Amino acid sequence: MPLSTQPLGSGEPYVLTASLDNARNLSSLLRAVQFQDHATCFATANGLRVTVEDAKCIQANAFIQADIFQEFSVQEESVTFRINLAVLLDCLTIFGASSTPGTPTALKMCYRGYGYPLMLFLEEGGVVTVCRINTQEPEDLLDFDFCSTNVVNKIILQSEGLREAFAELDMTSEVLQITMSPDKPYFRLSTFGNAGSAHLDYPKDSDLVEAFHCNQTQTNRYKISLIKPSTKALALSCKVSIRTDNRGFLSLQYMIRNEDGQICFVEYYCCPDEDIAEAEL
Amino acid sequence: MWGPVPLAPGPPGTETRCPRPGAPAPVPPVPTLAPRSPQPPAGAAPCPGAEQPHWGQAPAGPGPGAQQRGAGNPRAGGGERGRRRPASARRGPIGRAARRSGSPPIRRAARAPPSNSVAAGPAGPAPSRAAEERGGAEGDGRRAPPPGHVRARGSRRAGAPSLIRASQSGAAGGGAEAGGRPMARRGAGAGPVAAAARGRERRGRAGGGGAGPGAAGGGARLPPAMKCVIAGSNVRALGRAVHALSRIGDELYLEPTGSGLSLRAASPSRSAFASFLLAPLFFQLYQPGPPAAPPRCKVHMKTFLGVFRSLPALEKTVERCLLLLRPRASRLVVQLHCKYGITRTHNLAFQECERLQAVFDTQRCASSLCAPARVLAEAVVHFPQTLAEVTLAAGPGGRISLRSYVEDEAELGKAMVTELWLAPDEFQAVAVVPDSRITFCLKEFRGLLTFAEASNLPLTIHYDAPGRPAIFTLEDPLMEAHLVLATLLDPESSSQPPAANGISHAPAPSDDFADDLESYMIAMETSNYGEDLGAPPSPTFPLRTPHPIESTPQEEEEEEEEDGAVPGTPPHKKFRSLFFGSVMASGGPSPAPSQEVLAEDSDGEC
Repeated sequence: MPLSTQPLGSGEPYVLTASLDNARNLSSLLRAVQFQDHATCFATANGLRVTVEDAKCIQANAFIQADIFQEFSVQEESVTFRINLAVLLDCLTIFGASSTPGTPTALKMCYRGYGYPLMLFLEEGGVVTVCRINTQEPEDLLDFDFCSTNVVNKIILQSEGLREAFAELDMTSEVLQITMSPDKPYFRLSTFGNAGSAHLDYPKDSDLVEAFHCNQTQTNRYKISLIKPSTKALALSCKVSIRTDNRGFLSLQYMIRNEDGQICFVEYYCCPDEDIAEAEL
Repeated sequence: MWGPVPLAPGPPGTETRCPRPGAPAPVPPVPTLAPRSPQPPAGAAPCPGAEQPHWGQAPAGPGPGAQQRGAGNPRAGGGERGRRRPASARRGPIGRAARRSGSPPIRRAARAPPSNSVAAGPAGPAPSRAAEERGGAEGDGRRAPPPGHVRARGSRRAGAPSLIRASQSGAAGGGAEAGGRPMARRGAGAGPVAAAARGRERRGRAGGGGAGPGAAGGGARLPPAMKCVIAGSNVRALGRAVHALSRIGDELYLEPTGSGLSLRAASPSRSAFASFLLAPLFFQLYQPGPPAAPPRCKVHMKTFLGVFRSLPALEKTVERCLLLLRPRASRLVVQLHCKYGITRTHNLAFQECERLQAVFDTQRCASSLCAPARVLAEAVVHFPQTLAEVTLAAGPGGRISLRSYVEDEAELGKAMVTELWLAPDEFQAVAVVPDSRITFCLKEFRGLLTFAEASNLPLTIHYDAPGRPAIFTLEDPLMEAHLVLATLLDPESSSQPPAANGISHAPAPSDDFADDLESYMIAMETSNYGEDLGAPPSPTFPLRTPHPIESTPQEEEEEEEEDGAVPGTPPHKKFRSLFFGSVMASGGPSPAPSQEVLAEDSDGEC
């Protein structure tokens, strides 16, 4: 690859170096969490995590494991920076968002450390673009404290079954109500819009349901405006795991298979709407 | 939420509405309080959360765990960073109550259900007995440990959803309602005071924000639900019909009748009307309401269309569709049973309404054409989407032409005009008056064509002189469709349109115009208040129907609202409005005088 360009600026070593033969493997995952302009990137030797938050109520994480990259090295224990996600995505797709399958865009990503810009070297068909994106002070992230031992209900669905449901959500409804129950209706999505309510019921023995582990009937409401962005991840995913813990917090994990058949995950955490939680207490 | 719904005409014995002498009048146990979540056999096998399916909670990446996060990020002082808890949606946008009250009640207060005329008369043994027994039962309920059904009924009354989603709002308002309502109802049953009580009740209901479930608590007051089951490919046909209707108007009128389920829509300016009649054969199961008081309702087109929004998805996934009118809950239930056992239930708010009927008669049209929908669709496709109207003309040799209509002569120089000729042998039948021509809107026509093409049905066009409505029909053993479109009054062809199609219209001199408009508006909106009087279905004609003196404020408001729509949205250009009488009930054949009410819009005369 012609990416071994001269290091710009001082001779300080990069704390993060990553290269990828197909930048779309990264950009599609980032797009799945792009509902706010800014994201916090967090890299360890395991890989890269990109976190986006909104309204202190929802958090989306895209996990790109180290082995997705052809080269991935982190010199420090962990590297964190905040970046404008929209700009990053624009750069990653600078050769066109839907490049033809035959000509992937190669990417090399370097970060020298705190205060330095993120360097992107993109190459397609011999044309190289160098992007320098300023990084920002990382912000504190929400800790949802979503612990698997506190998970009360868990359902794994083939995404196909949710895609249409999410596409046709009645957006005049303020909330999406999710009912998970060991008994009927097992798994129900409800909206309460201007013109009436709508319920979507999944039987637990449906072919779409891969796993059904519900211990307790839980009905929680989530702001539909917060849930809606996860549709982007849903569209890419092949399976989705829906979990709620004892506080009613929702975790949506999307399993996404990239163009090279590798598996990545995007995860959404969402807080429940408060009033129904109170009603239950 | 959808439970078994009592389809039988409700528990009898609710005092006034069902004074069937022989009917047993025990306390209705309301056995059908739809079990919200029927307890299934204990097959659910709760699984303790230990088992991890093949992909676990923490993906292989850097891990979402808090520890890692805390440890990382030296620059940002990750160590001392306190864990911030998510705000738990505490930004507390809008309290639930506030939100609820903000939601617009879709439905105006329902008019008193039909057939209350009986209330005046009956005072028979059955009603009063029922009332007594009911009183007794409720009394018992208060004293003794509650017999389940009495309680159940009370709770249902309080909690069942009313229009404004009161159901979820806790029982405060609902409870009060439940407290007040039974009194009035019992009074109504008492015979002599029936009328007064009825009035009170109606007012109460209107004030309460609509035909709450309380009113329906007795079960027999409102007509029992209609129920239809549609299978497979017919669901798609229904979806396509709804799409076609959505091009016409903003509201969809549903009326189950003995001859099938009728879906109708009219354009706001009343220049277009479409109706689809789905025959009982169209359905797997078809149970219209009682023939005496068929439930009529209208729903927002957008809402209904939302259910059938994606036709490909409909085709791919939906196996069965259930349509259910639940007056008790004030809901039209559309349930789609999809692949993989998924059930989509839509509980739509509806509004009780008069019948929407256009006055037209295909027999009186001088010309008619019949062609496979594909022929017409392929012809129409050549016209630009932005083109509003097209002129259909009969040319020499039986050829039919379609030509863009350009309104303004001055624009004629700039506009692109498309014209195409169809040979007579393209048509299945041609019986046209030579040199006749009409101009009509394309948009609605395209909608019907799409439906006709997908259903592979021939389309018949009936038309008469310019200015008279053109009628497009599709017929099939399973369904028939009518589209009635206003046509443009062509100043060239005739200044005085002939009294064709039975609509004898006396062109009003401009002096009289105000009267004309007024009568038009009255005619437009007059509904048959015979409903309130319990008159049997009879053809009523708007001009003749006297306004009832004791129309409730609610009703007047409704009229005003609808009236308001008419002058506010004059038909475009020189279109004559079709006249649609709001006929309460279909009855015998409409005598011709009814059609005198046809009036034209102001533009047409000016």
